[in-house]
Amino acid sequence: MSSAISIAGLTKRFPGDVLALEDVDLEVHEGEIFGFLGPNGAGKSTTINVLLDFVRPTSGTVSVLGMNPQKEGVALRQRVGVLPDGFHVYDRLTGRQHVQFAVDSKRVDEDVDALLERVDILDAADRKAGGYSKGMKQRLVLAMALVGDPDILILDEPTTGLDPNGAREIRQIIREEAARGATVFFSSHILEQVEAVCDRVCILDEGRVVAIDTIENLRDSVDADARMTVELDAVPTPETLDAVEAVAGVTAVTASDSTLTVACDPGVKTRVLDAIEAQGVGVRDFATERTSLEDLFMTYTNHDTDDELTADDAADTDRDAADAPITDATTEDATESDAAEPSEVSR
Amino acid sequence: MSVTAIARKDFQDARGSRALWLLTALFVLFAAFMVWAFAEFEAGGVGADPDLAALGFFDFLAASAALFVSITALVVAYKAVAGERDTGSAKLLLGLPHSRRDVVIGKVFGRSLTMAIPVLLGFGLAFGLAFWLLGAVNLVDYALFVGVTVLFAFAYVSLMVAISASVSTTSRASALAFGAFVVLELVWSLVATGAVYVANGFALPATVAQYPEWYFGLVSFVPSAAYQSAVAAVVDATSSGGLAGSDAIYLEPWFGFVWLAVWAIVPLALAYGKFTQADL
Repeated sequence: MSSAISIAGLTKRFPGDVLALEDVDLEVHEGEIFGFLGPNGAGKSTTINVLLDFVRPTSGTVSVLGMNPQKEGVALRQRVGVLPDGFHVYDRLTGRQHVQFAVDSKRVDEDVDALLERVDILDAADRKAGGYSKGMKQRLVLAMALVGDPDILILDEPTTGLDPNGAREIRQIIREEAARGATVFFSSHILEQVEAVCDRVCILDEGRVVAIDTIENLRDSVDADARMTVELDAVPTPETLDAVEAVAGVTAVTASDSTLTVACDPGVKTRVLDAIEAQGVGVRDFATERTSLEDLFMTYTNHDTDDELTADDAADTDRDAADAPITDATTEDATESDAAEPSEVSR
Repeated sequence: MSVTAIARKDFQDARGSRALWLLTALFVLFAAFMVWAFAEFEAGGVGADPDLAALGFFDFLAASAALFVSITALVVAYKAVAGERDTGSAKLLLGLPHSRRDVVIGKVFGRSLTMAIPVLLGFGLAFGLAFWLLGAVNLVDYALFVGVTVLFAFAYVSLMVAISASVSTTSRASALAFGAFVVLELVWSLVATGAVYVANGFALPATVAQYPEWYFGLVSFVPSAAYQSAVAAVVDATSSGGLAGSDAIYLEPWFGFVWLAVWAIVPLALAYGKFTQADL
């Protein structure tokens, strides 16, 4: 299979010695839907900005559709549809004028109304885009990205600002585009968005690739923990929590009011329930689920998906450095994190 | 094609701006006022001013239009590129198959077109007034004068777009644009005089006639002076744009066109060089 996107040894250092990307290697095959995952500030947008020649790499090579974005940017972007991160629409232009601009720019013959219909904002086509909601702006720029049936769609956080229904519509469009033969490369910090459509994913953390695989394989490689939610008839005492944690096969216990969340081997469920009842606490209800993607994600990135790194470090650098402000001092090797203990778990 | 698409988009964008229509209204009033003022004082009214009367009609218009056009160009163009980088709409623009060169050139044409509206409308209406107040105005001369004014607007817009393309934020663009305006329009003659003062051994020659030739070259180098020279070159006016008794080529009135071309091209080329290397 040939590569739609090929990244080798990509490093980007912003002024102020902010290391946004460090030695990133990545191959995206033609025709696949590729998810690019990572917490805010991991370097996803910087990577995408290099693919589009918005940002110049410090070192490393990048090839998209066999072309070098730095040298053949115009020819390349003729075949790419882009939904960038942190974009701003032209406030005084209507939705229709935006899409028409994309059509004129790509010199294609395309039905503007059909595109606006496809992203479901045709009824707002003649209103100024400055008055659109965040979700509508997102849809508008997606419509611009779809102009000219691009060979690759590069979508940076396409579901930002959309309600679950809107996010589903976007996923539907992504599937349709892939069915047409397009390669789709999209980034997200929300795993559920990615799991629903992606063939493969890459997890980026603090400027480094920490995993590339199918979601199934990633899940299998992490662990087989089940997560069990138990509704009690009273708020549990510390003794109850201790008793549950003492059960062999239990890795973590969290309490929230009268609800217990227990991470454990699937085989020890009854023993957990027994332990609770042995403490004289009644069990109202319980449910089990597989390792959530959130857990999976945290296992690889070892911190919460809420980003705590962005603001201060990047304040004195160029604007886009805010995407991935990692100073050398704070960089740590995320792959060394302890897979057995998600950082969220507390008692 | 790419340039056209950007210029058209930019023009559409500007057309929706209230500021542009306000500017157009102001320019119409301004042009009308200038024509009236000339007619009033030139025609030997109560407050007839011999100095004003000595100036030709077009010199009079050009001298005042220079300031108005330069301010307008600053307002219209200083955000052209930096504003898009600041807000992030540059990512929509450059996510499409446009080169950065096309962006810069498209911006110059889009904003120049935006500038041309108030200039053409203002002087168009003023022509009617001039005809009514002054009796006979040579239409060809008038058209040439307006044409040169549009050219001047183009050169100034190009300079402002260049400034805009050389920085990454709107605030830096506005500071730089305003600084350039102050230096070129307000303090330039002082700079030139200062140069003479230094070159002359920290003393000024007794009369202006004794100033060195290059002083007049320096003074005529700035865009507004170049514009006035160019106007003098095309309009069949009695007033002189050149310096009597000098054969320096850069003091010929037509050399104003050369300076305008320099202002339109050189800053833009330098700014493009910087913009093309920049991270958005």
